[in-house]
Amino acid sequence: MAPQPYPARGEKESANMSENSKIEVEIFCGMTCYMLGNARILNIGAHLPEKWLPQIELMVSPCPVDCGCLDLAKAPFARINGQLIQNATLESVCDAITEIMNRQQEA
Amino acid sequence: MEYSNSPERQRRELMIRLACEFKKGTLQDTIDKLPCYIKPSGSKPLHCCLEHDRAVIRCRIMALLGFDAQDEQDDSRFPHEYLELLSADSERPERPLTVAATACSCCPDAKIEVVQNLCRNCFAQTCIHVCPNNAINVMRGKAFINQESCVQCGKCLIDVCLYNAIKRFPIPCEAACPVGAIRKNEQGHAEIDFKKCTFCGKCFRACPYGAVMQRSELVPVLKTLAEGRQAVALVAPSTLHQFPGGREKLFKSLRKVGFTEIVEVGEAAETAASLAAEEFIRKMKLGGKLVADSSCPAFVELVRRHLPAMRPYLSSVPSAMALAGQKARELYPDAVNVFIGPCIAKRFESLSCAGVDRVITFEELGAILIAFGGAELEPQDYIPQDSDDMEHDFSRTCAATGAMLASALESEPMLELQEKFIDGINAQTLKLLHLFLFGRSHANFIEVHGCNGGCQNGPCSLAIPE
Repeated sequence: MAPQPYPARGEKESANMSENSKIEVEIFCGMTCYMLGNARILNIGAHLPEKWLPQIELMVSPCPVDCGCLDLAKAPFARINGQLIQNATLESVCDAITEIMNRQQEA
Repeated sequence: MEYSNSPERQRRELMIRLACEFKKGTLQDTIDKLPCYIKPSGSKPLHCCLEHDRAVIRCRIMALLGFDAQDEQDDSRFPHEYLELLSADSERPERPLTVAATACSCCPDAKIEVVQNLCRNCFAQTCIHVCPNNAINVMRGKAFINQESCVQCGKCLIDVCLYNAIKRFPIPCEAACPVGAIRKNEQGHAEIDFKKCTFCGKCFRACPYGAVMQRSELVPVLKTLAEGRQAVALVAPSTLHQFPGGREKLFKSLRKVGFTEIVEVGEAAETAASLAAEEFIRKMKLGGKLVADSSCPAFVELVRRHLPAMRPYLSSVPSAMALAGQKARELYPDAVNVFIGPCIAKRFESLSCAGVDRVITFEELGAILIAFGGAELEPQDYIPQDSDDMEHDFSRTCAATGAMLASALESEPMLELQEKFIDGINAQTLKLLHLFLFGRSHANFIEVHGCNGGCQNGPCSLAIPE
């Protein structure tokens, strides 16, 4: 099953934004991850500056085989630009996105 | 913004583990080890040490089994012995809430204090000037509040110190309770006065240590489903907003885990709203001045225990849950009727509903779906869709009685609806309710939601509504 794009609240099209600079945010939504916190993370669009939203590609993904749904101590999971985050929270995902955005702005 | 919350996560993890072990048939052997699975050696303790963390988890297990969390302190019995006492027909907990002294951090008394590092001992000394009781003095170059003289009026808090050096330090559970039902006892632990408690669940949500716990009925429900007994799921209207995949998928999942029948409480809510409208018209024609809606169980308990003068105005219409339970009992007389909702007060209300045998929360249903493999969801199911499910009709949303009343009054031109909607019970809205009683606020119908944002935002909700 392929990841599905998730509409971030307040998302707007931006013509001058390069596709390469997009940040891929994958939220894993097996029922376990959903219940342990990802239900909250799906609403991340409302907690980021609106001007960043066109650069963020929010996706909902099925539970990856290697995450081990029953490894409850590490759930919920998210992946940002390919990097897996264990025990993901709304705050930790926001922080990771902020860090990438700051790096991109500095570059 | 609703922040992530460690006690909430731990509670849900425990529910999932317990339900999974139950499904595997190994719960009896592993229940005593669950605290070690969740806090294994080498993990970072949340409290003073891992042993304390594990003791708190044992308290959570006690509450999850439906016992008083204090029972954990009985060293002569292990959780598996309590589990042995449970069956599908076990007695229901009389009080849905319990406080675990082991988990309670014995917060210091609520007070207003000067943060010494921030105080600059300024020349203005406004804090000293505004204090009506001369409780603020300067000692060793810093402002200092004499707690014996302080009357907690808060005048020094509001725009007085430009360095923000004066703060109120609350006891979160006490500050959250609108009726003063939770207090520190002589040992310093929080204790609920069940004569005052309305079971709104605000202390349950507010405690940063997760010391206030629900006495769950998860295990008897799991046993009912595992035994293959006829079980009816009474699905609260807000359920559809909490679980991904929409109505059809949710109902399919419920059937897969063992619920033989499903009754939508939203349909009963329509009947309840219609009965409330009829009652309102009847009372107004007889010269009544006020009708208070009875759909929120926390508000009903608030009126019963704290607003006796409002009792005559409280609608006599049973709640949607009670009506749905009644219908399920008529249709399936031998079945076990399980209400699924986000509310703690519903647990208490259900004790007096003949048609409701058990209550589980959305969190507990989530754990059951995970354990029984009931939730066959695909990524697109998590994406909100404009489907008929969400806009089916008004009764599947919350706060519907006012809408029904407005519609019913179209045929009664002589009656005017002056509705007041109260979103969330707190100290301010309690004062407002008193104003209605003294006739100082113009309204002839009041509808109250115990939780801000309605049932979707109940204390045991999974997802926050946008």
